[in-house]
Amino acid sequence: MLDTLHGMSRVSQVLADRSARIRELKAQGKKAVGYFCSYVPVEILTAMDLVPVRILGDMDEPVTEMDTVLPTSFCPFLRNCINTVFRGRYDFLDGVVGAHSCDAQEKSIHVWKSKIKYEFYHYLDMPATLHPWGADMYRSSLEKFKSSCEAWTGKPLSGEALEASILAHNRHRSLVRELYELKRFDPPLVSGSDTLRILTAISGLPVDEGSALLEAVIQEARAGKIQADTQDKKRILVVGACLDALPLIRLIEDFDADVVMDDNCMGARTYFRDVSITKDPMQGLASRYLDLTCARTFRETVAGEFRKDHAADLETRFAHLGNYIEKWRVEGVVIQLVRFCDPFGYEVPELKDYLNSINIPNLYLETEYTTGSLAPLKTRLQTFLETLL
Amino acid sequence: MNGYIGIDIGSQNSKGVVIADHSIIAHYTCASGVNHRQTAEKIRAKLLDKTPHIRHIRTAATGCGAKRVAWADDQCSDIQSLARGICFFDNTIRTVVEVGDRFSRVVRLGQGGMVIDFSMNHRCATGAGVFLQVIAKILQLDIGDIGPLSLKSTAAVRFDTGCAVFGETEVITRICEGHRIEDILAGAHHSLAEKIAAMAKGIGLEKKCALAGGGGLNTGLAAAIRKALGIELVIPPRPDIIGALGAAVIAGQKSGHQAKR
Amino acid sequence: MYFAGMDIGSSMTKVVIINDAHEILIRKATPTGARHSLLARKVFDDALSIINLSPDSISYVLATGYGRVNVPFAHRHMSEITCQAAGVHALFPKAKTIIDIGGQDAKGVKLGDGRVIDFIMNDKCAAGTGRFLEVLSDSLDIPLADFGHLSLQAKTAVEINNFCTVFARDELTACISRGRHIHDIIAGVHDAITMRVVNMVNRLKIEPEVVFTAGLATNTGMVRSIENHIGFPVSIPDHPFTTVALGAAILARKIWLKEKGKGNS
Repeated sequence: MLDTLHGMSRVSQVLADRSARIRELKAQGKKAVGYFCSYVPVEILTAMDLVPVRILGDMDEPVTEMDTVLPTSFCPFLRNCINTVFRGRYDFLDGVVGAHSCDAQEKSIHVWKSKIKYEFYHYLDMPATLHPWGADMYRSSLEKFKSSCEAWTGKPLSGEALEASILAHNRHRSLVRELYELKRFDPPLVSGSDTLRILTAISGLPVDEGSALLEAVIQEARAGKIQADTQDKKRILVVGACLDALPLIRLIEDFDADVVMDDNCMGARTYFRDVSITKDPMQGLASRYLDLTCARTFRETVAGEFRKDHAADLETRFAHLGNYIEKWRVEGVVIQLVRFCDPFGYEVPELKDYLNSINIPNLYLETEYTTGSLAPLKTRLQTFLETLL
Repeated sequence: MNGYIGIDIGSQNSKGVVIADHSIIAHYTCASGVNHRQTAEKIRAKLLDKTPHIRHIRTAATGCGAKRVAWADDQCSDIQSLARGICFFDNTIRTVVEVGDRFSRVVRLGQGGMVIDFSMNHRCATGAGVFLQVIAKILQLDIGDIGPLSLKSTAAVRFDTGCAVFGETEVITRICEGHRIEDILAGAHHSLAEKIAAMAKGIGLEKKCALAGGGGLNTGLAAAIRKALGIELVIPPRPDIIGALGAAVIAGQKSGHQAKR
Repeated sequence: MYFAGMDIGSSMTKVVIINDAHEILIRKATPTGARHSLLARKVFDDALSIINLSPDSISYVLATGYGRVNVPFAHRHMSEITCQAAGVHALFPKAKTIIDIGGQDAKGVKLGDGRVIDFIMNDKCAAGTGRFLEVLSDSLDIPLADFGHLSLQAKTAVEINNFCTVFARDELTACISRGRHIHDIIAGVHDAITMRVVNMVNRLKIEPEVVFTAGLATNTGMVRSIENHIGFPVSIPDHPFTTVALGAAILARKIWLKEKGKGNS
């Protein structure tokens, strides 16, 4: 039976085969929907009794199937993900949802749709800015998503079901935040690599099962059962796009440091903001999701007044990082850019400005999402961490 | 009997072929050296020597040193020569992968050896045979031995680099780590095969597929490319002379055109 | 008290031993070969016997360089960039920028208060490293030691159009057969490396005093090429091959003192 293990043992079990629990649920009649990006409102999927499954890549997998459909100068993470799809690793899904969070994701979804037949595909249009007309557009995009799900499942989405789902996901997110609180200790009660393993495990489970798993892990962590044994590790925050691959975090840990905090899609970006409970749950979803701290959205302090007050703009865009750095007593920041990522790439100079303005040492790393590209990172990471001594 | 000569002056090796009456009558291979003009003369002399009964109507040259074949009637691109050559060998072949010393090429062809699409490495030598040349040199092995040795591997070592220059250092590291030569060679062959396979898949493989170029003589590489592509590959008995053969075919075709006028 | 810094490079293994007063007792450099860990021990022991010290007299050994994890008798290992900065700062206290072109890679380091404040490196591509020159020395059949003075006699440096070391080598062979002079060819090769490295280091903003170190700093042609490119003179250590090992020895002493201060012995 798959659910006899608890806590970190269960985490390991789930990671060994993320499809196992989903297949069990499918045998009971449930349907699973894959999604790439933190901008997809999983609450809608849960409310429709669909199981959201986050699509991840595999750094060990050589990307061999992609050259006929995606150019080489293209997000290596998404190329890798679609490669695993083409190799049949996500055959257990019934549908997939993508969002126009970036052009690469948009193209990847369409490539997937053109090559692999699923019952259900949905593509979420998204505005690039936070202007009021953008928010309106996003609201209608979500309505369209809801209708699309209703048409597929043949069931209407009730207001109660959506509210219940929002509450469940809010609770789920608060549990992740509770886990992150344990990383404020020195040494943290959960290491950076274990954090990512936990986040990876819950990203492929129904929300209530994920929450139960988090509760068990939090208990183990509080009891000191999963704490790293040494102190005096440099406290690092990693910021960037998707970071679902352990190797980079493990590299950092190899040099007596720990990733105590992050601002990326598997972690804080997804879990550090809840949906406000109002009479209009769809509006609540739209507000919450559009405001994620992702580089793909263009943020100005005052609409239409970009660069009028550079310092104010930097505050608007990155103040949350300053907050994390303070609360988690971060000593250095690693800016992790996946090669060819334009949205995050454009932001790097400004991000460096901000970090330098608050006197936080930072290192810019370009990664290629292959194990072969890790070796050159070692010297850079070691040198950076040595400057923190 | 009328005959046509094709000369391919490559970056490492030069090849000459004489065709007559739809067959290969003679061929000759030697190192290119630094003086390509002299090499071309040497090849011509050898070919003429081997074919005293043939009337040599026309010569076409190809390869990086083609311009040094001053007496050639035609200059053809490597891609065209490759296509015509493989078509002459077997006209049902629709994709050919050629592994040369500095360049690897993948060509999709239609009827009569017409080129439909092609791809090759151009920015750097990754994906070409020089990777294995450098590794053979460091291991002090003959280039002809590394293929069969690689096939004896039981656990191929993974290579991080595809660069011929850094490959040298990586081999030293692997030796230092205590790996067997066979396993290191298997890893190197596999790494090269993966790069070539990626290029081939980018063009799209249409059956029947063939392997040509000097790399085709390497049994270890051929096996690794077959595995990486996951398809059957036809290998001509002398894959390295396909370019020269194609040039000879082109010489013959051009001669036919002239005669028609 | 004595402290040792070991720099296990891809081509050379270097050791520097200093005493408590930062005086250098010995510098030694030996080709690395394939067996890092065996050679490191041998180079260390040989150096000790030359200055008549026993291994026990070394209070702390710090290893750095490409093979730094293969030195079992080292107390600790640190990155070569950190060690380079420490070594250069000891020799040139006013240095603000380091340009380091070694056999396998090229680095730029910005110093502030003697510490690394920023750095950049190219370890992806052989073009723009000493390897480029080695490959060409091999194919042109001219010893590397002659490259410097040959290039200084150039009239018009050849322009190289290929990024890749392998293709660039072919391009130069063709230049020779077209009658370009060897002085111009070698000067062109130096300029090609300079362009890549200086453009890279400029991302950190090159500021004087600039120290040019590591293997290629012994090449007078490279020094001239870099100075022409950045527009002002550079400082060169007397022993450019061992500044990293020196820095490692200095840091060995620093760490030992710090740990002693904490009560660890």
